[in-house]
Amino acid sequence: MNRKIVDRLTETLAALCVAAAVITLTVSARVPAAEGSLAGLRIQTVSDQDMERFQTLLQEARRLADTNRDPEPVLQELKGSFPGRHEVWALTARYSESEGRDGDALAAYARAVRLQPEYLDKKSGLFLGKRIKVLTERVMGELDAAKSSQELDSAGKKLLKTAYFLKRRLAGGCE
Amino acid sequence: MRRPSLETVLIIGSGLSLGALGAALALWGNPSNSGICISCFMENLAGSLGLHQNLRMAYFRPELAGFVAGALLSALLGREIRPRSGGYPLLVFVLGFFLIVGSSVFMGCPIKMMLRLGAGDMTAGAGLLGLAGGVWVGIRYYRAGLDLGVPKQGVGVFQGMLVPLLFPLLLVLSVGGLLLSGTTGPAAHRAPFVIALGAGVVIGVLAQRSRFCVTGSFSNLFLARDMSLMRGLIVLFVAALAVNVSAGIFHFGILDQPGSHPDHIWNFMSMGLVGFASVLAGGCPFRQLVLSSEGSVDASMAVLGMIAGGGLVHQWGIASTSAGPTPFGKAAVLLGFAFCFGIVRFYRKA
Repeated sequence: MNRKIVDRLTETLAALCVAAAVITLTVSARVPAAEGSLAGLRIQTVSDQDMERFQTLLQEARRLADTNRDPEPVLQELKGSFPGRHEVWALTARYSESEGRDGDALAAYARAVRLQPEYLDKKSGLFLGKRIKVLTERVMGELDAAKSSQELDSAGKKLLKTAYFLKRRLAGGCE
Repeated sequence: MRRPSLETVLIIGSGLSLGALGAALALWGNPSNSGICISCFMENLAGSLGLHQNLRMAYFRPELAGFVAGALLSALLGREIRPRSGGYPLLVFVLGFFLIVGSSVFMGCPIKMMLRLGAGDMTAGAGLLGLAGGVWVGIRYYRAGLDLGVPKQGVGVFQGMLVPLLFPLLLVLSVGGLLLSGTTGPAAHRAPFVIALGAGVVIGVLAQRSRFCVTGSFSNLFLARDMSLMRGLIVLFVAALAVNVSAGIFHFGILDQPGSHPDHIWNFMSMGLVGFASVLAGGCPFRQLVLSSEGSVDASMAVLGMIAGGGLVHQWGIASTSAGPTPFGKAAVLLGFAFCFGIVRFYRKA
């Protein structure tokens, strides 16, 4: 091939790669963590002042959940202000599970695990692996049944993806 | 029947040892499907040196010291210590960095890709196609006049041996408890020390003698229709498959495989980057370790780039997780391609 054509083609490809990288980063920066995908989630660093508020809200939500009162308003506030804190999602998952909302619990556990992998680590004090495994199997069973009878809507498909994420994490690997 | 040549035996021995021991090391304690993974090991090494803050990925794997010590021993016995340099140290360092970027977005180096395929993980299929594609692009550029020169000898034994001797030193420091070592996560999943080190030495010796390289297998095929190294790659896959099936851990599937993500586009792209960068750097991540043991300063620079990469992919959120590739990972892969295209643009001769 003509040398000039190869050079122009190579330059164009390099420029396209740089442009695509910039676009990828710009788009990801505009999507708030609460709405973004699991993959884009990052652990949220919190200032000392905010940490005090975070701890107060978290304790309040735990107290309400433990005394069979509705912690949902406090949890909503926590999720809005601290979407990158795993404790929020772990507590949301526990509460949703106790309320029988398995789908919500699974999605919240997935976020908690994404932010803090130690929830699936037997050697960690945070270990919730068995509980998450049982829930994942149960939800997947329901979703598979819905899938085979072609009743799986878009929310169900999204939840199935989340369930598979947890299955991959439960299977182990180097990450 | 014609007796196979010594070269063929060594190549098959390399593939066999990498496949069988790679699968077996995961059975003996290393993370699932990660019995041998140079990029994971480099990330672990970087963590043990404090180059990233993810303690779950901080552990100096004895296998690394084994690979280097085995290859060094073999090169010494075969009088193949040849300190040499091609004169582009910074380029090779950055290529080493991008080798780890591509591998961490895929979640494994080319050897782990084959081990994952041997365990039934079909997400690695996109990676295999990407790797072959990346090597093909690199080879096309070589055919179109890319010339990074021939490494020149005479750079001194001291310079050539700095990195190979670093690994035994790190092993001593690790045994002495002077390196960071995680107690949870992948860092806590370890094959027994002696077995890990011994397996590394055996593989290092065979890989040095045979010149086995995963990306080299594709390069030789595309460049000269030479199947010799490809035989080793096929044996690697078959050996891993045999161990996994016989141990009852073969699990065919796409969506629920350990240490993987089903984003096929980025599996393809990231391994494409590894293939392209490997052609430019002169070998896959594993081959860089072996070449550095022979005194190649370029390979040593690539290894240092890989260690730096091992730290930065965690610090900058580039490494993928089971949830998929991150935006930073995708951007880093694209920038890696831009860098590789930049090299071929500026080092192509008529």
